[in-house]
Amino acid sequence: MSFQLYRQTMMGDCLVEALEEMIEQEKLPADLAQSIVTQFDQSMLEALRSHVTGRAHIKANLKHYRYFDNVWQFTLEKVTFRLSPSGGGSLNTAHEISCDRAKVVCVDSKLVDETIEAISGPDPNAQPAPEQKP
Amino acid sequence: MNTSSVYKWVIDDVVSKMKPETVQEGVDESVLDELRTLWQDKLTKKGLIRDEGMQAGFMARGGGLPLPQLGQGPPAMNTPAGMQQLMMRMLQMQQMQQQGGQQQPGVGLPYALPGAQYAPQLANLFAQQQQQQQPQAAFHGSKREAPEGGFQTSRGEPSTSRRPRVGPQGGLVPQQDGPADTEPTPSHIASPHQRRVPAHTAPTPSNHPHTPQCRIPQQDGPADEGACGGEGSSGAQRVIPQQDGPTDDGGGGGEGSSEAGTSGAGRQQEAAEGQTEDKGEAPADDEALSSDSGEDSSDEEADVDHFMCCQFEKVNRTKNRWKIAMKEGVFHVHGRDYLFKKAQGEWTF
Repeated sequence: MSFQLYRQTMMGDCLVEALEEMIEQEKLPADLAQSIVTQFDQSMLEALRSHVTGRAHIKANLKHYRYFDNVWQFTLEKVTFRLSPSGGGSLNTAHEISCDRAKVVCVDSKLVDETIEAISGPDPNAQPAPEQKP
Repeated sequence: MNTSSVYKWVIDDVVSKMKPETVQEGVDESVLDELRTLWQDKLTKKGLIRDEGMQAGFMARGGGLPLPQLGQGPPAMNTPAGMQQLMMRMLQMQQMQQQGGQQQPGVGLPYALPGAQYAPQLANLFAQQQQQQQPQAAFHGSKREAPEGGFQTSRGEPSTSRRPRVGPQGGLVPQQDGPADTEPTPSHIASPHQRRVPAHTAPTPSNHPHTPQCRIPQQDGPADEGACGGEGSSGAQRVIPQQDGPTDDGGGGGEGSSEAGTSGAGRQQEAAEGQTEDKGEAPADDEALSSDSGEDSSDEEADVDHFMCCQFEKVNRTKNRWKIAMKEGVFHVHGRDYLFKKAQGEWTF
């Protein structure tokens, strides 16, 4: 469940819409569509890990918050979002986007890692945890 | 990689990795290609994927003026300012072609925009408007910017001063954008005496002969249904919807009139129905009312126009200050997606 997070994005929305259309037209079996969505979860996560370098800073007023089942949900107001697409340089001079209100859903990253490991084995690029001194 | 490239990579990755399973299931591989096309089309329509080949081709042809960002939607055609910007760009391109004469015809014209085939006609029309306004500006001794004046005049002045939109050859320039501009034509307005009034209609303010401007479509603000009946209610008795106090059932404000109105009027009507529910009267649509009132009570769920999905590494709160360490997120804001690997949130409760 945890790494199905990105199905809520516009990318996931569009995929689900396209799959539903094809299932209605009987071009695609439903179980294959389910596999495609699962593959999308993994591909989206891999893309964000491997191909995205952006660094961001978000400043906002917090209106509501909720924590349940390792998922934080926030409703923000007066949001200022600064993004450095390359990940370098100062964020003070980065491109700034503002909006009045935004909703944020954050899933525990540890849970995502555990799910990924359970599906595809341990990440070979993952750094080993440092040994703790007694 | 920008957002568009990342999304294309995801599409390719999903399609390529699903091929073995698709074959195993006995489904033709072309289904995946169809899915790719459908998925990409949907993303392109929402402005999340840009056709970089088209832009690269445009720049290679020597187009000096930038195309609008697809992610921000077409700037022109929808708003007067955008239309004005487009006209300026077309005029500028025409002047460049006339002066230089070295460019290939049509190079740099915004072919990607809808209605671009009418670019020369529109540019000529705009030039005519400029020429007609120059004497006025000289008379008043003021230096006005021509494009603004031109469009304000054509949209804002009363119908008596409206010029018919005539093309260079005398033909009408077809409208390509926005809602149909029901500009007063002889068949529309004519004289008040020629207006057809149903015989059964009582003499209400709606069919008063001195309200011909009632036919001019309203361009701004909430729809004033009470003052001017919609197109759908032609021939029927015009009813001014009641906005306050208990509803008067005898008024005849049925479903037909609410359908003819715009969404703004619909909302007002919903509000009026809500008032009736509070007063214990039977509402027209119980289910709709209950769902609306449920949304109103939980306003935290109401707005999802701007939405972020990400993972959190650490959430720290000190008094009313929150610090959130996030990673691998997608922020959908103002119709575009922004991707980040790491993010820091500082929120004040």
